[in-house]
Amino acid sequence: MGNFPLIYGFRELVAGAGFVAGVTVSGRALVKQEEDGWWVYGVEPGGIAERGDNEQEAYLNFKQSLREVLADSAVLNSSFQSFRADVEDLGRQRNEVWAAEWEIAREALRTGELKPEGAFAELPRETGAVLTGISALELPKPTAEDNAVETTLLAAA
Amino acid sequence: MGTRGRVLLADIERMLRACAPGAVLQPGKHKIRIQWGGRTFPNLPKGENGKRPGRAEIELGHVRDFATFFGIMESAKQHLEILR
Repeated sequence: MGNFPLIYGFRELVAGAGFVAGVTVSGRALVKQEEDGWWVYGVEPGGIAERGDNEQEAYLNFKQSLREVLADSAVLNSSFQSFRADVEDLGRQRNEVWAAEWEIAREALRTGELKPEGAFAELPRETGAVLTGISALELPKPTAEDNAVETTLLAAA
Repeated sequence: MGTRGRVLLADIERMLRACAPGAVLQPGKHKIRIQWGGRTFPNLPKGENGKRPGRAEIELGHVRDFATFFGIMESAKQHLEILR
C-alpha cells in the first residue's frame, strides 16, 4: 500500500499545576511503510511520529506519543494560561514535507489509484475540508461527564 | 552510529549544531523538545539506552520527522550517512 492520508481526533483530560484541562486534538497524519516498519507522521500537528509493526500499532503509538507531549506541556507550564498557549501553538505546527505527501495520497485515494489494505481499508472517508488544531478548556470542577472516550479516525479522500 | 535503523543522540546533537545552529534541546518528563527558528518539535524520544549520556538511540523515523519539520534534511544527510 502507498502512503495513506489519515484524519484523526480525540479528547483528553490533562492535569497540571493547579488545573485540569479538557484538551481536544484534531489532526492530519501520513501513514508510510518504511524499511523498519510502519510509521505515522504528524502533518498538523507536526513534530510527532511513531512506528509500529503494522498500521494500527503505529497509529496507537502515535496517539500515545501525542498524549505524552500534552503531559510534558503540563509539566513545563506552571499555569493553565501558559499550558493552553503552548498546546495551541503545538497544534499550529505543520510539517510541510508530510503535508505535500498527504495531499498526493489523498488525491490517489480519491481517484482510486491508492487501494487501501489492512486496518485502514474500511475507514469512513472524509471528502471535505479538514480542520486541525489543539484547543484546551479549563475545567474548574471536573465531573465524570468530562471523561471523553470518543475518537475520530477517517481516511481523507 | 547507532544500531541498525537507529541514530545515537550524540550524533543527532552534533548534526543539529551544524544544520540548526542554536537549536535548544529541552528534556521533558517523556520526550525531548527541540526548539529552533521559532518552531518547537515536541517529540524526540529519550531513546533506548537513554541512561547513558550520549548513548541513547533514536529510531530513524524520528530523525526523518524532525529533519523535514525544520527543513534541514539536505544538510542532515551530509552529517548522518544513514539518511542518504
